[in-house]
Amino acid sequence: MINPQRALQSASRLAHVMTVGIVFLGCLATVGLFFGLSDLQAAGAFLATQAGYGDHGVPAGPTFALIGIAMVHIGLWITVLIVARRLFRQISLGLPAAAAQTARRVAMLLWIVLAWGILSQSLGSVAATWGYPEGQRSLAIAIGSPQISVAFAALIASFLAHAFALGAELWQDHQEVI
Amino acid sequence: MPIVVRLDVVLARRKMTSRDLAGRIGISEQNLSLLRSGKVRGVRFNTLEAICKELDCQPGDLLEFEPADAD
Repeated sequence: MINPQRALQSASRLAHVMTVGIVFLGCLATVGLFFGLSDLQAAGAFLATQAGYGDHGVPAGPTFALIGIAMVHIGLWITVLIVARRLFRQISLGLPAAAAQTARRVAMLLWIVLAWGILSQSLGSVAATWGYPEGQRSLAIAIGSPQISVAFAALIASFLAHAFALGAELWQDHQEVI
Repeated sequence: MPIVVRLDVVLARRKMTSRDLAGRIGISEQNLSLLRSGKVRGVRFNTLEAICKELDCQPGDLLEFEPADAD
């Protein structure tokens, strides 16, 4: 007989890890938003530098845009972690069919994170170089290792979602054999 | 399904209750009830072996093939 207890316990632990991640990102977003809005100039300089452009005095409007982009990023990752936590909870409760559906949702969210990652690079480049002299502003499309990593994660998540669906069918089959 | 489970008949012949059989072969009454009513996808060989041992019968006494177009 198959003993799924070890996998179920490990899934329960992973659900707790997801909760820690959600709390961490929530705190990061709150603190970032608080400091960003209280000192727009410093926030603009920090975000422009993080986007790979120097600090050339980012105006208030583009700084808001950069803060917005960063918040959408964090919001998306929080959503991914919430859905992933649901996935691990369903696995720990021994609900493979529901887990298969949630795994598909995680995969879809990762593809959305990838698309937003590419789009936000372009939007970020425009916002970060808004204060540059005319002719030096840029609109960049960057596909680097972060995007490739997310694409790889999304690909694996999609494959795992299929595996989960197959596993749920097999589990149902196993339950119906006496 | 064209496979019909005749466990009820064999149990009646042996004058044994399904609760007794479930206890002796180590499966739950619920699972044995599902097996009796034929609401299962399959039977493991070790379950079949345990039932045959307890009821002193052959697998053929427990299972019967009835083609769907027989009636």
